Amino acid sequence: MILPVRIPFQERAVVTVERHLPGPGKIMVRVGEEVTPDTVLGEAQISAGFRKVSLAQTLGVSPGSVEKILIKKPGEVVYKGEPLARAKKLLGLRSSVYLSPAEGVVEGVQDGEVTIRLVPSEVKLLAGFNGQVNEIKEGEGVTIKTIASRTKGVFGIGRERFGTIRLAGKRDEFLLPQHLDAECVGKIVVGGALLTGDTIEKALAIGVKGIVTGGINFHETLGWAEGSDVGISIVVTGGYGLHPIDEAIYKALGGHEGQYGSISGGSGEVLISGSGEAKGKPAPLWKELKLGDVVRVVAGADLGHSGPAEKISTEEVKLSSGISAKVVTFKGPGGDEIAPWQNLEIVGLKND
Amino acid sequence: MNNSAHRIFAISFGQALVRGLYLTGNKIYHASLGTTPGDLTVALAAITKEVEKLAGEKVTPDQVVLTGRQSDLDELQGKVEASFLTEEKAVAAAEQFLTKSFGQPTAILDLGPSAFLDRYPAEEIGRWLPFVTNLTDIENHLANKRLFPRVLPINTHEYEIDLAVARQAIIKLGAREGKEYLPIETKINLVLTGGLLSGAATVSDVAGVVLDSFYFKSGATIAIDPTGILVPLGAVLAEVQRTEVSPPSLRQIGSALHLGGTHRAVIDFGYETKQRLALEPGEIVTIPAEEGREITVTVGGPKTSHDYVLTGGEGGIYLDNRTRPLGVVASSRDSISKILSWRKSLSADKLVEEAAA
Repeated sequence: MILPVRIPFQERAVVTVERHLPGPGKIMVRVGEEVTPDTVLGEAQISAGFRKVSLAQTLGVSPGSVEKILIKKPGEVVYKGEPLARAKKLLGLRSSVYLSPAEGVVEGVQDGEVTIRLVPSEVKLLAGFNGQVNEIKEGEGVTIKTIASRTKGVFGIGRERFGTIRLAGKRDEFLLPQHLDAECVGKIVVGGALLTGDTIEKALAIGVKGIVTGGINFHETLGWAEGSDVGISIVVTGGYGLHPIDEAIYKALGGHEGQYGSISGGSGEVLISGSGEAKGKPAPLWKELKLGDVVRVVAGADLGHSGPAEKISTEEVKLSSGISAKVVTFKGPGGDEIAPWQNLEIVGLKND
Repeated sequence: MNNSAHRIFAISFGQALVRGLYLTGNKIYHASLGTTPGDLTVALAAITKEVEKLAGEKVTPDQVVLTGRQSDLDELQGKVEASFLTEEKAVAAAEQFLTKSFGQPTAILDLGPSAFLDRYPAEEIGRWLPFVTNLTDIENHLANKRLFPRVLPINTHEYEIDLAVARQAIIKLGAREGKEYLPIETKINLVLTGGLLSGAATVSDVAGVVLDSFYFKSGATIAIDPTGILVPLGAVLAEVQRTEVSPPSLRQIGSALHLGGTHRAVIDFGYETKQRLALEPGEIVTIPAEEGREITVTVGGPKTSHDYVLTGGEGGIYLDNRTRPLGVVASSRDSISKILSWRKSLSADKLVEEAAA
């Protein structure tokens, strides 16, 4: 029987990392060039969009008089903190000055609101990993071949983000807002069997880059469209519902605490930059199950149960549900367990 | 495609299984294996090998026709040398073939694990469950099944959720007409394929799903395609017009008729006397009638009566006298009690009395 393969944690795997410029720009490295995490791969100009300021409301003047009180007229450049408008009060004896909240060009005035077109900013794209430039897409991005420790979750959300690994909370309890402290700011936090909505809100508020967790309730993900970004990247290692992070994954990520890595919800992966010789061969997407391969139940009441396959039935067996199926017997932590082959994935290859 | 040699190999990709059917001369060989989403070429190679082993001959690319969901076919376009046929066309060809073979309009309902890819509100699933349920658990279970649709239920609770999804998948088809069920006006043969119902544990489970989600105004015979052969067979038949192919072996469940709250019916088994059946509005009646036996059910009074000729099967003949909507809600004691009583009637034969001559 052919089963999907997902190796949840691989130490020193050969991976290719795609690094994209956030906007049109130029690539500054060549194919074959060795890079370190600090190497600048390229630069891009990103348009930050517009900022609207409701001057009529803020300064207490009529919408029609806003244009008259502007110090910086449409078309002029304004710097952050520079006076943008001045309104006279108390028969001209006093005046209120409004300072520009951003750097840009005054675009125009409408209904008492001033629009500032923000100045495009230059962003440097860092490699983030030790490795070699494998491929270049001119003006768009770079692929780096690297050695990294890879955690592969079941699903995730959010674009690629970078930060150092930080354990927070336990692997088999709820990840609560109080588990996120100042030490988690700007980091990829690992912990919890269930990530709650208020914890996501706290993480967003304090600037956590990403969260690796065991489970999440489906209703917390209702606003997440495939491929979208919610301001934070999340990788789930167990599934929907309450699922402790596998002990081996938690321990392995704990061993990398403080190291720099990336988290991508789209690929459901956490990569931690490594060095040295690669360990093991790349795993296939699917393979014929062999006795000794480690299998894991992917859904249902036994979700997360795992162990080495000991026996593959040739005849169908009647399950408690009344359904008949060929089953795999595997050695779980509490003894022998059975599961229909349809409910399994391979999470460890024999002789690995 | 070269059909001159009458060799054609159809492969259909489902969420759980890939099925291969090889027609060579007048012989048919078929096999099924697990699908490999993400890299369908793995399953394609494996099923080809399996069928070649059974048939004892090599399959050439010009004999291969692939069918399945459009997204799966798109994934394989350009990667493999074969003809491509949408699942809708394969099913339509199989329906046409069965209609001709049985001499009666036949519809195929392909209900496999891909039903789990749709989103159903937990309340809609929970209302069909004969136990108190936690809607968050249902949501999470369905979301995990969306990630891995081929997962089989391992306990009765999960099995009931699967059957509830089957109900909602059918009801969704009726929603286009603004109904809480799928109405079928004319008499039809309904053939169920795909793992969700053809792999059901009992015949009464299948009958329960069908009665809850359809409304057969003129009656329907219900059969199951136990080997899941119909879609690949349809793909073969869409490519070559073969009249000498025998219809596949189907498991006859019986017939179903929705009465909608009538009070009496007279049943003619073809014996000397007819049987009178007192019906309670809201109940389901199961009449024992073995496969192939035809009975006539007469409903209504002497002036406006209707005769329905229904054919028996493994489960018998189901007369559904419930009015719609069925009015069940999740975790309600009253709803659970109603569901359990309907389940009981699906496997219990109704006692009838002889009608006056």
